Amino acid sequence: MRITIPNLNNDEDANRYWVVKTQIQKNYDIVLLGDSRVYRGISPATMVQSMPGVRILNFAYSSGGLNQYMYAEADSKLDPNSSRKAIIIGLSPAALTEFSSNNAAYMAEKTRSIDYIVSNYLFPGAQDFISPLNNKISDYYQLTKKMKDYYQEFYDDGWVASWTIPEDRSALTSYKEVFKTRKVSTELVQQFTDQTAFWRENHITVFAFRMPTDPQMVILENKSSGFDENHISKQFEKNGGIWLDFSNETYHSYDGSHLDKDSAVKFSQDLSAQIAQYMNNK
Amino acid sequence: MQINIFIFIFLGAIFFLNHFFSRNIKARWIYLTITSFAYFSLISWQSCIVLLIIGISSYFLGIVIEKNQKNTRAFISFGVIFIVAVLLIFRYQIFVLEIINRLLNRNLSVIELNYWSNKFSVFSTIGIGFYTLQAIGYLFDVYNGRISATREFFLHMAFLSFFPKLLSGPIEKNKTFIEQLRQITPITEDDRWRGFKNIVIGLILKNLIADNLAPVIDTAFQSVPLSRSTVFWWQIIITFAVQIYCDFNGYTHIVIGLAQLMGYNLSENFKFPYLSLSPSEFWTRWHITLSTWLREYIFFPLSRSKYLRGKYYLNTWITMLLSGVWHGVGWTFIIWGGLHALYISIDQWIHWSTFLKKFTAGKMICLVLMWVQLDISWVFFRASSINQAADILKVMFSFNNISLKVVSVNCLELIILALVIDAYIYQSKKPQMNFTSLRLKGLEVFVFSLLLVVAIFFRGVGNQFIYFQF
Repeated sequence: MRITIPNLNNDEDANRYWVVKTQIQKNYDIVLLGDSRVYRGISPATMVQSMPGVRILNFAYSSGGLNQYMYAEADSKLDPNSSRKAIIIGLSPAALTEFSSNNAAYMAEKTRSIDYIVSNYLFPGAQDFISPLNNKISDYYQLTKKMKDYYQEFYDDGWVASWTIPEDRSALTSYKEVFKTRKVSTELVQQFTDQTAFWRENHITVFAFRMPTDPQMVILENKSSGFDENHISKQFEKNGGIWLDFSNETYHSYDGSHLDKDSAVKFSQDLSAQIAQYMNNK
Repeated sequence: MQINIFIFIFLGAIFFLNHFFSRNIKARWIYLTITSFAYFSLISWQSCIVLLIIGISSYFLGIVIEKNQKNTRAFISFGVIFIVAVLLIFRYQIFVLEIINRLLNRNLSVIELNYWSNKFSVFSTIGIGFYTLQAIGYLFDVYNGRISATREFFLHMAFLSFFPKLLSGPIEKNKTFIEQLRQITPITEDDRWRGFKNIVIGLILKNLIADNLAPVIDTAFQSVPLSRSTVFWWQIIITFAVQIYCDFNGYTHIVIGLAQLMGYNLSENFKFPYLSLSPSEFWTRWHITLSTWLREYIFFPLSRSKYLRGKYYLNTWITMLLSGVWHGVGWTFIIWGGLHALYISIDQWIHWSTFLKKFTAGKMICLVLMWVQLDISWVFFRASSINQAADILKVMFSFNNISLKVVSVNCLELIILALVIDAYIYQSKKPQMNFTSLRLKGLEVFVFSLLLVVAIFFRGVGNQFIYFQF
């Protein structure tokens, strides 16, 4: 596992992170799906502390959509010989909108050229050496005025620990605009529940929950996005899934949407405690 | 061009091995074909299959068209339809699916269309727009007797797949490029130096200027909601005009430079297009090889045809709409092509540019009018949808918030740098810029080496070349 020291501008670390997550084929027992709230909010390494020996991949992407294409991609990451296969889905309303169903960020990574993949995976040191200096110089000499400093740590298991200084609630403003035109799709909700039934038939345990976020964001989403948590969770459980509940008050967001590093670790512990219970009883 | 270690290693190997294939012409064709396919497979091995299909089919069809005196029309028609069908299937499949969806009332949802789009994405068809046009042009040239069909398979494949121009053109004239491939021209020091300079200029334009402008443009277009400031959007669109020019012109310079290092001369694709004084003139300066291709294989044949002879405006519209379709999968690109057809038609009808060019001040007015027209068309080229384009144009012409605040000082600096580079390119064509003095030559070497380092270490975030999608 390659851990990055917090660096304001670490494009090469980010590039390598996405290459490892998308292109390097390994087998896992558990795959996490969702959008940026999931990949920033859940640490597989922390989860593994409650489930020793379990291989977990955080397979979430920016503006990640939950649809048949991504379900199949997540499937391909599971070890077919594993006796404890599971899919964990961190739901957020944005991931169930038509807009997200093109999975632009994932497709951009999936269709990377071989030279890009090889350079960022096999020669990260050399890529670091020739990485652009302009942002680094600009930051060092504080040439550009920034509203905030964004810190990111990239982990090979798919987690990105994130935080900003100072924190803000900027995501609330942008999501308010987003949900004026983008709504949760009933077709995608149907796909989600149908896929759950399919996975259950194939002996894959399916967990889902509403990904914790800022309480103000929850209010906004409940009001504007068309996300009916009650209906979705009931349909999900009807199809054999295991719905988990978490309190948003317990965790802290740095931007009104994503959990900060400490909260991500805490949430990962809470999540794995609940999942371990089910997996051990299996 | 992606700046990564692997590409440096790969290109280094190609140029090193090139030296060993400089005696035997047939071995050279095989070498060029293999390296081109190897290069292409780095980007997408699936696309190699498509390229192979186009290469093999155009090779055999060329021979059949030349040999067969009776049914040449049937064979050329089959060849063109086949290549266009491949283009439609691998590049426009989602667009075609959407149209069929509407026509047949299949009610495929956006989600289903996205699903199929994702499935097809793995057959990344980068460059398909370029090599299919090259293949179609080749078949027409054989049909019209302008060239003989190549009998040597690897010559044909090398001609079609030559890796510097494979992904982005230029779309070379078949006769001149095949003739170059038939010879082994020794590579001189001058060729190497000019090649190096072209690559450095290209990297400055593409990686330093275009890639550093890209985030500003992307942020503006991705903002929710869009800015409502008139001045903001005029600055963004003008910046985009500079970005796309530097992006494409930069890539072309790199391609020309790479070809020169291998001993081949490719065509120029740009001649200071933003100095055009009329819409028609713009298309003699922007993407020159594409507009030449469209003129030779679409516009002139239409103009000579039985039903469309003399119908200048209709033929112009057909040609420019096809240009729009070629440029992109979406209605915005078709509108972009339509706008250029409109501009050309209006100019041809009322001759505004001809009248204004008679006066010095009139030339300035022509320049301003051209920039306004081009900027309007660039809005459609860049916008993600017709609605977004319409929204932006509404803001641009509503004169909201007209304070002269600069969107980004960095962008201004980069635009000025682009002007300086263009001025250098203009000057460098003059004989007095071929320095003979050792001191000046030494200074030139130092400056270009420094520029290379700057282009690598101060490049932008590494956006893919805009015209890759074509």
